Amino acid sequence: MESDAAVVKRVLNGEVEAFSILVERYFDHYVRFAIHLVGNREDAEEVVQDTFLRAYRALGRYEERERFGAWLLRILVNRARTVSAIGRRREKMFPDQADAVLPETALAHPEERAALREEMARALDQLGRDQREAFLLHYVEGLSYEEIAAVTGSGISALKMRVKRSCERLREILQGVNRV
Amino acid sequence: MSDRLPGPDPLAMLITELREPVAVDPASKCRLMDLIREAPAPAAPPVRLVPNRSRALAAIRRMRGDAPRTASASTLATAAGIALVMLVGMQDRVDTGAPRSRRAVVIGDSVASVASAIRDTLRIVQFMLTAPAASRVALAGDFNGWDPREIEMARDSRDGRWAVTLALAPGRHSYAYVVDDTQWVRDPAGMAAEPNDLAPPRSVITVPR
Repeated sequence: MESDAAVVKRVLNGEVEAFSILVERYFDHYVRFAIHLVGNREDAEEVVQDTFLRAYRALGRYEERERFGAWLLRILVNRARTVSAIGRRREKMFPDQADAVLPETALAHPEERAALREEMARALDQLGRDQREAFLLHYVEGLSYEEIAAVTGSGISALKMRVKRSCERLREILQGVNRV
Repeated sequence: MSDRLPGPDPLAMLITELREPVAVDPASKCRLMDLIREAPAPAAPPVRLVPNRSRALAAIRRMRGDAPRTASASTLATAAGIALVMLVGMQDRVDTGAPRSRRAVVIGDSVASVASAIRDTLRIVQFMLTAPAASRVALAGDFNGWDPREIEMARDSRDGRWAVTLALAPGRHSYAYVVDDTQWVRDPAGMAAEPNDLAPPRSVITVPR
């Protein structure tokens, strides 16, 4: 597979269409991340679209040494922060059933799953922005703390604390839900 | 990367749910590509203002008269920086692995001839970061097109302090340290730059005239 850096070079050499390779590689994945981060699909798609546009315009500043995905993620996180700062609503943290690609086992009890998702969305929504961001980047996107530091600009020890506290908080909320 | 799941089932279930892929309308990506096609072409990579060491040394030779004086302003700027490395006070020893630093300081100045016609005063600035656990530290900034490889910092093995000295033109400069090629850190002792979603964490130094 052609590396991201090689694709970037082609785009910088005038092959605009090559940018669609990067869109195919990252768009869906980052829409999912953005949905969890900003809390609704409409804003998430807008944020991701804006991220790609900004990345395209700034492509000359991309350094091969950095993973393209991480560079893109840094732009995305900052765009998402802007949207959050505007204070738009958080809703439909998890995509609608119809939109999600669900494993077959889950489809056996769609109502239970919907209820579970609702509770989980509520739990995640109770985290502060920084905690939610660190939690998602570490446990869902699988980034190391060093990578998260590069993406968010926060220190590693602060990030570890945020992730630890977010896990504690989520566990507390989710266990409370289970007891009801 | 981490595959560890943090604890009991509810949290693990949440993470599993969050990792589920979502379906995206292909039309969204088509619309995005339409916008990309209409957008202005991306700007070319920034021009390097600080050349590599061999070019800088060649520039020093030219300044001494060993070769015709046809160096560019940026070449001479770096040459002055390398030629006029000055020592500043030692920092206290530290034992932690976390990067720390003294603020970047202006420690002198130099005058370089530019294109045989313009004279420009450059200030000598020393950048320091204490990072005993790092195996490599570089300085990147707007003065070198944010190249994370070009300006390597030298390590003092006694206290884990990394330092480099540059000649910079008066004015405001943004910079960051790149630890072990991956971690971009702002100067812990410096002034943080305004957040910019296209740039790594960075600091700002104002070099006086």
